[in-house]
Amino acid sequence: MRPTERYLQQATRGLWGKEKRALRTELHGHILERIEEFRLGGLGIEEAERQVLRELGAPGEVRHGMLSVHTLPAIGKASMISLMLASFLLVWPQTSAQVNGVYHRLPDGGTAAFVDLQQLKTTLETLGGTVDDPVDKVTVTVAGAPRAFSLPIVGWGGATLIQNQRTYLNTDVLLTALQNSGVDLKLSGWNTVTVQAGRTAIDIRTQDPRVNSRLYQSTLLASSSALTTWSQVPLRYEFFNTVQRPVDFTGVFQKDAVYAMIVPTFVSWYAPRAAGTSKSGTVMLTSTIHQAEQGHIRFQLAETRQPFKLFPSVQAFKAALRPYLKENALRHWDRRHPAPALLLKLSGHFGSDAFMVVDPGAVQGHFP
Amino acid sequence: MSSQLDPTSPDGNLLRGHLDLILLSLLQGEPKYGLEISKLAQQRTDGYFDLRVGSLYPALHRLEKAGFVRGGFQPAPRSGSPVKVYALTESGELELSSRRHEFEVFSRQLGKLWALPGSNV
Repeated sequence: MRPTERYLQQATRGLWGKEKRALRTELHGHILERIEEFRLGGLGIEEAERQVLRELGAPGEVRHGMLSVHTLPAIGKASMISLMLASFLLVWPQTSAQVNGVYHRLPDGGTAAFVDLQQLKTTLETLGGTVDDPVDKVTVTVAGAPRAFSLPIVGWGGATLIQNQRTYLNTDVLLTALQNSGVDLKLSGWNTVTVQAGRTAIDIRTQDPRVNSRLYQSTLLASSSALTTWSQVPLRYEFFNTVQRPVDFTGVFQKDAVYAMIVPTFVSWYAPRAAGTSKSGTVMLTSTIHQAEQGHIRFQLAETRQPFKLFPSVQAFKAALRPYLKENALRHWDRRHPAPALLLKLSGHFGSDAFMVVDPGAVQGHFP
Repeated sequence: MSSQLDPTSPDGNLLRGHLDLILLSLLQGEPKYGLEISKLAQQRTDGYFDLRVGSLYPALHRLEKAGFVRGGFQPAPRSGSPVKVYALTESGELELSSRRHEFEVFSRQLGKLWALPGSNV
């Protein structure tokens, strides 16, 4: 069963008859239309589907809203079990679990970060949590979580990875499942990134900074902030396989804090038209994330050599980017028209406070 | 030095409290489907109103049940899949007019509380 089908089942559960059928058709139409838009933006079908479902949020949100419209409010058996489970889990003490993280290419050509599933399973179990073997879904529970949530992974290319006879779980899967369990989620650290899920801390050890970058990028994607949802400009993962160039900044950087640089890139393609083909394209946002030293940070940007200019707020950034968003308005950034960019300080929290914009006047860029 | 978070996102309770008024306002003119309504809200307010699916569709269904909007399925422009298109009913237009007036009066009266005593603001 594909992720969309799972989403629709969960979003319409509890409804009956024509209300259920109508909502299902309506949500399905929304998903398919949005997938087409992301595909026009250059994403593959699976990535587009993932992006849309991520954008929709937990299906339970729609379901609860719909049940309040179409049925009488009631406390069902499932709610009671959730309450009992939450009460039971609250008695577990706070502890931490350590797992290894790796970075790997996905079957569809993308890349992802993974954690060692066996280590995660063993250590979580000692902390009063669980993670089951991922088959068509993954359920992760941690102490203090309000509910147990099963995340469907059928059709999720690269939900797991088998390497050297060990199974690894995609960190996007882990973090999405934890988020949907209703637990407060926050990242901290860099060389070892600690995922604080309620009262449980999972330490992800890695030698590969791409794992850390990917973890922190999840906080931007999950923030439901104006940054990621505005004007339907998707924020995609950075391309690590391209040649990169270092960009150094000095200024108000706080030691060990994590920062992100957001830059737009043009994605173009040729669309078939009645009279031959025509070039079209869109703008996508790319992020690069790193930890700062006191007063200094180095980002790695894709080798585009496009000049850019930092803006002091998301609002100003949007305004500067707006002229480039018109369809078929392909342009080039140059020294006279630098690409709008943002420098963000990340909190690590999965929420609306995921980032703060760094004042461009308080930093200085040094480019080779 | 860091600036605060983008200040152009309303508090969740504020948004929920005025969601019906926002949707009725957006549905003026041509009929629109959910995704279109969500995008229009963002575009016309520079991202200030970010209507999440979890609140958008239940609110549209609530308005439909109350008779303020009517919905019907049409093929979507890109995928061709059926999407539910909503339009204001006559009753919805009256409701919008009434709510809008109520909001304007409320906002005007609240503004008076911010004026310093003795000022003409």
